Amino acid sequence: MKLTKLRLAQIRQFRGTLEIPIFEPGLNIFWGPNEAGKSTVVRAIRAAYLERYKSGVIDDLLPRGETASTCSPTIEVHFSSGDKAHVLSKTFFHKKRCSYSCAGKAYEGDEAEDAVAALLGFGFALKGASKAANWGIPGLLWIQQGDGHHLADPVDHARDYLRTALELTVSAVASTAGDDLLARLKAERALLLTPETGKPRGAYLDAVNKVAALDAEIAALDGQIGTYHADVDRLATLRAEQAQEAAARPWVAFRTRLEGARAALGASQQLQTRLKPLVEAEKNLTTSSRLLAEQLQGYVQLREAMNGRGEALARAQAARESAETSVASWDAKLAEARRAVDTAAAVVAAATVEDGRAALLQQLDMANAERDRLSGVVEHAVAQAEALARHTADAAANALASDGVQRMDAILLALRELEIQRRAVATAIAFDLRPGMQVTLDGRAVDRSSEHRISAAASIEIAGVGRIGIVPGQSDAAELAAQVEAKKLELSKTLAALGARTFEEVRLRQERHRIATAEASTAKQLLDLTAPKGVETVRAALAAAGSAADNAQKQLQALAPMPVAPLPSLAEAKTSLQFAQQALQALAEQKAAAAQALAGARASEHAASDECAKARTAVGEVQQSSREAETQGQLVLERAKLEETRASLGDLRQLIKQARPEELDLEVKRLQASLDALQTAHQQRAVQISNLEGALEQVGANGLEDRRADLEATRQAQTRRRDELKLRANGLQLLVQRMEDKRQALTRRLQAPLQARLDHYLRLVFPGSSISLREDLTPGDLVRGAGANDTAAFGQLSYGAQEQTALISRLAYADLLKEAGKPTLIILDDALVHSDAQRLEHMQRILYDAAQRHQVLLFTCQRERWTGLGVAARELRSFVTSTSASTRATAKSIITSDDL
Amino acid sequence: MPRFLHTADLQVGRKYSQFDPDDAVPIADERIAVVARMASLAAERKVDAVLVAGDVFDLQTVSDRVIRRLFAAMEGFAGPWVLIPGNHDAALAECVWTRAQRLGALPAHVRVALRPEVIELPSCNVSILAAPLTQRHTYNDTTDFFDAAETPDGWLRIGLAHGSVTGILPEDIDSANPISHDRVTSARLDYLALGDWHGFKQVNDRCAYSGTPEQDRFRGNEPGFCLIVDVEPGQVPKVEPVRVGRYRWQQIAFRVAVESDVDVICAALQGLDVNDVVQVHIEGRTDLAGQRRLMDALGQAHARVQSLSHDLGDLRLLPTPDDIADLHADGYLAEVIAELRDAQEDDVSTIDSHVAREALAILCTELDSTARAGK
Repeated sequence: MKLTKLRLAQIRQFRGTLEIPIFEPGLNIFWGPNEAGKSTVVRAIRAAYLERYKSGVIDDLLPRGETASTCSPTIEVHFSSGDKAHVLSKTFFHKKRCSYSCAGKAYEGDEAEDAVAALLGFGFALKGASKAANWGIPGLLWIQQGDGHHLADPVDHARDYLRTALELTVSAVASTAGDDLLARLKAERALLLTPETGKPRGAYLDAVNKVAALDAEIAALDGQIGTYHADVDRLATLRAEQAQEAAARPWVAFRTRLEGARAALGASQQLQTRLKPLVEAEKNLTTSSRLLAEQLQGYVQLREAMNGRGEALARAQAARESAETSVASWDAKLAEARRAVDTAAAVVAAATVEDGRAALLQQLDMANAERDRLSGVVEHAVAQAEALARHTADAAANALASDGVQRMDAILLALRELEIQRRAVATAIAFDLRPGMQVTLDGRAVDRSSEHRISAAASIEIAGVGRIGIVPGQSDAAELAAQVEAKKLELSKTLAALGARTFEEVRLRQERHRIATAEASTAKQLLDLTAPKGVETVRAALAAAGSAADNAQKQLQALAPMPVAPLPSLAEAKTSLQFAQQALQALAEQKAAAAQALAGARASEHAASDECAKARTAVGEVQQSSREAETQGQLVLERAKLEETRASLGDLRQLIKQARPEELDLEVKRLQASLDALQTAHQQRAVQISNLEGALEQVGANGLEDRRADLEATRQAQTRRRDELKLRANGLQLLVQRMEDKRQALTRRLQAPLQARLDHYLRLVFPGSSISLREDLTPGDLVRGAGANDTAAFGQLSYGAQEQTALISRLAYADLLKEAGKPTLIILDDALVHSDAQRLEHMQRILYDAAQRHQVLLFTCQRERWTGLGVAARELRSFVTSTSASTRATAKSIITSDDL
Repeated sequence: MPRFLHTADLQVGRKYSQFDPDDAVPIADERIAVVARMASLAAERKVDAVLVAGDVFDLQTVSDRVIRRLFAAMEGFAGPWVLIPGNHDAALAECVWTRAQRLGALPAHVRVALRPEVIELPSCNVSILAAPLTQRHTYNDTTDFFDAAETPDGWLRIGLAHGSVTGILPEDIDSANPISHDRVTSARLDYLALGDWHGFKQVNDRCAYSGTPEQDRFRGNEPGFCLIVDVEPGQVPKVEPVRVGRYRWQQIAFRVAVESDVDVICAALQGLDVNDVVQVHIEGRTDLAGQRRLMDALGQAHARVQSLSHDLGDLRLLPTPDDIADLHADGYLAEVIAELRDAQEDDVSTIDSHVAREALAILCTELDSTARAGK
């Protein structure tokens, strides 16, 4: 199917008309910015086919502000299919109409719509706007904006058409009733077998369990029946035995024998009674003989004891003597040790004295040295103090009043300045005389070559020549001279105040004062160094040192004279003393131990002596009385009686032994027990018989075998039922399995062409990958690579990959439909916006490939994305052929549109 | 001329586990009903005594109620009944008889020989030499004592015993209780009434098995009779079998080879009535229509007879192409049907032929019901 021409009017923003006069048989790309009307064109195509022309609810087709009662949106589509030209025209709302013509046949209204729906493969909703569930093949191939990744629902809605197409392409017939029947059979099977493991369940399991339970119950009952039969047999046996015994009466014979045995036993027991007094007498005699012998033995032991005591005393005495010797020996050693301690103590005393002496000598040396040093210090200090006093006095003698000196200095300065002034106004007279010439100035001879200044009238006398008076020209000279005179007077007064005649003298005294002051300072520093705390302190120390020396000297003199022989050191002497003391201590302990031993030995000796005395007394008493001899006589008598009694006893015992009373006793017991056993057994058997009879009656009344027969009937019925159910379950299992196998094989065969198309496109986009179709014709897992370890279900893929996979699948469906002779048209509205550049490249390749077989309308707002399709994009707005000006709003809209 | 009713093997208390409980109870009850019928017969034919030659009860531990019902059923004949225990109800130390005595269920006119003895019937000058079984299995001949048993001069000597006459019956029939084939002669018996063999069988002129009066198994040789025996001294006894049994136990095997065989089977099933206890086994092969007709006929018969069970496991179901078309079994369903049809042949497929048949039957039934619903 291919669109050849599209015209629409009064639809949404196309208030006028839009006409696309020519469509390419393959790819057609329409572009425009947002709001340019791409979706409107798509909507119009969909409405033309999918909406009922009578529909009153699709008012989204109306231009804004228009109402259904005045406006008639119209769409006219020209398309070719099956080499025939088709024209479909629909007008909605106000002038609703539908017409469809094809190959000379024309349809109107519902008939027209149904004819188109049958051709394309879709349906209509019962009422209202068309719904996705009715869209069929267009729903699958006309991809709406943002719906590219939704595949399951569109496939579901188109499945019947796809299946029909598949069956047309494959010459196989699917079963019409098969799927429903299979579902029913599975449900039937599920009643009897678990779906997972095929184990019995429901009525089947119930029957199996019942049979098992009955088996167990019957087995138990068989056991009881067996017991019952055994008991019946035992009862018969017991009854026979009892009857036989009652007839034979075996206990009679036993009773007779028992009586005989009892008589014999009685006779032997007579002999036994005689035995007892004899045994008694023999026992008494034996005892008394033993007691007498023991008494005699007692006397012997007494004597032996006395001897023993004597020996013990002797041993104790020897021990005491030995202890005494030991004590004496320890005493001697102790005295010696004490002497050693005394000697060592004396040495320690002497060593202590020498130690003190050495210390005193050292003290004396130190005190003497200190005294010498301090006396030197005192000497220096006294000299330095005298010097200080001298210089201080000298300084005082040359001291001047300081203001007087200052005044003098000022006057001298003023005089010097006045002199300078005077010299300046003075008249210079230079003399250069010939040798031998006598010249005087103001009476004083002048040098041959000299210069003189005069400030007052002067006279020169030249010898041989006369006198020359000279008066200076300037009047000031006199003034200056007066000032000089004044100052000189003042100077004189000042000097007088200072006590000097000349200022040189003042200067001299100033110098002397300065020197004396310096000397005094030096002397003071030296004295401070020598005796910082004063000379008196040094003198006190000197005195202390002297008394210390004297003290040491006196102590030394008080000491005993030094011994001649050398002594050990004090430490050595102390150590020796310590050793001697320790030795003494040890010996003292030894001695104490020996003394204690001695005391013990003495006590033992004393005790032994007492014992010995006592034993001697006892023995003496016995010897003095006649007790021993009497006892001896008694013993002889008793022994004679004992012999006699024993002989009688032997005779009696012999008699008893011959009568064998033990054997007789055993025989009586045996016979009695046998008799008892016989009678007990008889009685017990009677009880057993009675019990068995009772029990058997009880069990017999319970009808064991009757019950078993009932159970057996139930078991057989249940077994039959179980076998029937088993057969049915197995039959269902076989049937379901067979049908599923067939169905699967068939499905595979049917889907093979579709799978081939899918593989074709997949190769172009996802090389090396595979997708197997599921039974519901949707793509299954995407397996990348040969290892099949990267497997993703459709829903797990990225949004972009989902969209790509969905488009691939749609193209495959389209190929399939085409092959089956169904019209195909592919519309993509803003598709694949989530694909990256490389994928988009691949997708363009497959779109180009698909466009060889199908017409593809691609609407986009990004024409630069689709440059790889080999077709130029056409701008949608260029197809607007007229703009309606029916309302102001429309006019405005169109003007705006033109401006753009 | 003394006249007896000779019966044996009443097997009262037997349960029929192979039937549905609904069917089994009436069949079991009929074992007592036949006793009542024999009592009536005895009264009607004015017999001198009823002789029951063992296996009165099927079990030692039948319920008290059954014991009472049995003896109640004997009330229809007031003359003497002489009973001996057989191997099923042997006179053991504790047995059904001791229980009957304790219950006080034995009527005065019913005599049970619990040990070998001679029971004298002075009213007709007859001595009954009774040889009961006193053990579950007896390997010596319990009738040995007949030879030396003293009876009044001129009285008839009638033997009553339970066991297998040696050399006469097939070896496997309760052969544990042997009876000398020469006993009639050696013990000078006028008639020897025997039990144990469930069909009527005349051993010789003076010796017969009455068989069980009410059939109790499919394998039976002339069951359902009791014997009216007239014995006159020095004469050969006159033995008359009288049918008293109700149910006819039949195992019927059919084979469907051609389509008309189905008609034959339907007709045979048509002939069954309420006294029939039937097992039907059908083998061969048939199409869906044949199968449907057979199932209908079996259903109808089942409604009429006392008990009917059938086994079609060996009947191959071979849907014809028309069948398959009628079932609207197109596409792979048709293939499945063909496979299952072939799989019924034992050696063709690994599939169990019975399972295949069941599967096919299920499939056809499902399709059939769908097709009918469609119509």
